[in-house]
Amino acid sequence: MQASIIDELSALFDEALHIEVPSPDTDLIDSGLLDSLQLVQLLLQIEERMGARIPLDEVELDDLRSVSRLAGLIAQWS
Amino acid sequence: MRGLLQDLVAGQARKRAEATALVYRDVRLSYGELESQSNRSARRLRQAGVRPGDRVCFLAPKSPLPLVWMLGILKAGAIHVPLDPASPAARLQKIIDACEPRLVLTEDEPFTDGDSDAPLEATRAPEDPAHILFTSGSTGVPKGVVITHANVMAFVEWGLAHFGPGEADRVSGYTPLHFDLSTYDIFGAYAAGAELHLVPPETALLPHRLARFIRDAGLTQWFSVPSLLNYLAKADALAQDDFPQLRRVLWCGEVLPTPALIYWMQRVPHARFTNLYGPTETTIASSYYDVPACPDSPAAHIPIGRACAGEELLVVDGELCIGGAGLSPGYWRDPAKTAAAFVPHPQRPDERIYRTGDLGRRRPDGLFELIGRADSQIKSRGYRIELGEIEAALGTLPGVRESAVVAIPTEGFEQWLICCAYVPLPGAALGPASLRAALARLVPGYMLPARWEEHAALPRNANGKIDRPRLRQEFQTCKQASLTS
Repeated sequence: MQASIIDELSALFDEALHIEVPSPDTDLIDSGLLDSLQLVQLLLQIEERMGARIPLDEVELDDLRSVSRLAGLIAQWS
Repeated sequence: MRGLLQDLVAGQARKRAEATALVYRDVRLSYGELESQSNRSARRLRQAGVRPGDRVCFLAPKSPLPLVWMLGILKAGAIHVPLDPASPAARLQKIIDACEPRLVLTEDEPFTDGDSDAPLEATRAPEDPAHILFTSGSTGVPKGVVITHANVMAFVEWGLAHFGPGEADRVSGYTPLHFDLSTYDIFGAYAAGAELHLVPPETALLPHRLARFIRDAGLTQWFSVPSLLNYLAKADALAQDDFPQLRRVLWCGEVLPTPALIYWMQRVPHARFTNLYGPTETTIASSYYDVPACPDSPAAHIPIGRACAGEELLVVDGELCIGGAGLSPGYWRDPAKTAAAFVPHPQRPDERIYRTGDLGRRRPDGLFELIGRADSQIKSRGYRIELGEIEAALGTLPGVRESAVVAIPTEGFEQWLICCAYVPLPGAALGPASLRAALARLVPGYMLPARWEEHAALPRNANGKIDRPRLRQEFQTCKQASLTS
């Protein structure tokens, strides 16, 4: 379950945001790959493509740190 | 208030050594500590060979340390050049090559407590440069804007008179140090003897977290680019009558969308809202508009107002020009660019004005209004971006035969969407993600295009030039298609 979400999310980063993420555990925030503009686009794309509506006011920064953490968040909100 | 910027801190340290100057996460620095640490730093820089007029770069994320350096560099009589730690090494190298610093300070710079903390003798005059800020250049090489002590002092002085900040104020330090709005956060706070609260960078990623920061710190002044205000408004992060201690909301750098302004003015009715305008070349801001009441229509146009004391706004052939006390002496070691942008005043030829490249007009009531841009510079999230700099960087990538970068307006908080149409060399397999990753090694993140389109050939107009209006239209159409699908 989680593994397929990770694959789908990695494809989303590549195809929709055009961001190359080296690994599911790469720190998206410290590496500077994700800024507020990309974060908003990411959440929109997750909602459109994966049907999970993640409320910005319910998440903590650490939930967004990596593709694998995000996958956990998506599992929780879809 | 003539004098040098570092004297503002020395003055507060004499009067109120125990008062808090800086807050960052769990670190607090008093005016007394800031003064003695920066005196030590100045002595160390002198020992390291730094002489008056030398440039000293610093590369560190926002924290008390670079703020101590900044003062230390000034006290040593040198010119500080803040480098953006998020910028790719290749771009930083261009800046370092251009300004030829005596030293580049980084975070692991050892700091000895043994040095004397007695102040050094002042060697500089208010007309001497205090810092050089590098902004996007259309040919791919960043331009260094030289700013003097007197330039900054003029705006700080106007801010003291206009806003009346005092010792009880807690002001935001949101803007990164390589960006000129931070100059007002820092020296505006020091001049007033206020507390400067540096905003941890990751705080701004989540709107509700940023709102909590403003609330918990009890900020009395917020100053940022409009995109942050817009971000909080879009996420509906404010409660009714939120931030009870907030008295002033200032923004500068681009247009704040009126719906976001209405949201803020309704939620924080006790604050004063001021639109500031002015490019780096004329120091922080040159004009202001205190929004008198919450606009009644989301379509209302917010003017940039009138000139701050000591500044002059004028429209020459449709272009907004600025004269007065904030005017930079020019670009660092670039007389040609300086002569093109800083021209004689039309009525008083012995004075200079700066051509902003912004199109504007003066309304019958005397207030100035922005209309648009005369060139291909855009403002995205407050960053000044020359589309030509992005194209120049793309041109150096192997596998790219040709590219064109255009921007289309959006409803989102970033204001502009940067789009890139490119033609790969025959045989080169170039996907947008790998191109974007290669470009990210040359230009900062805020310059990276969000849309990419591979073409067999770029469209041309009758003169053989790349047909940019057509590309803009194509990107606009595919944006609408993706929104309705």
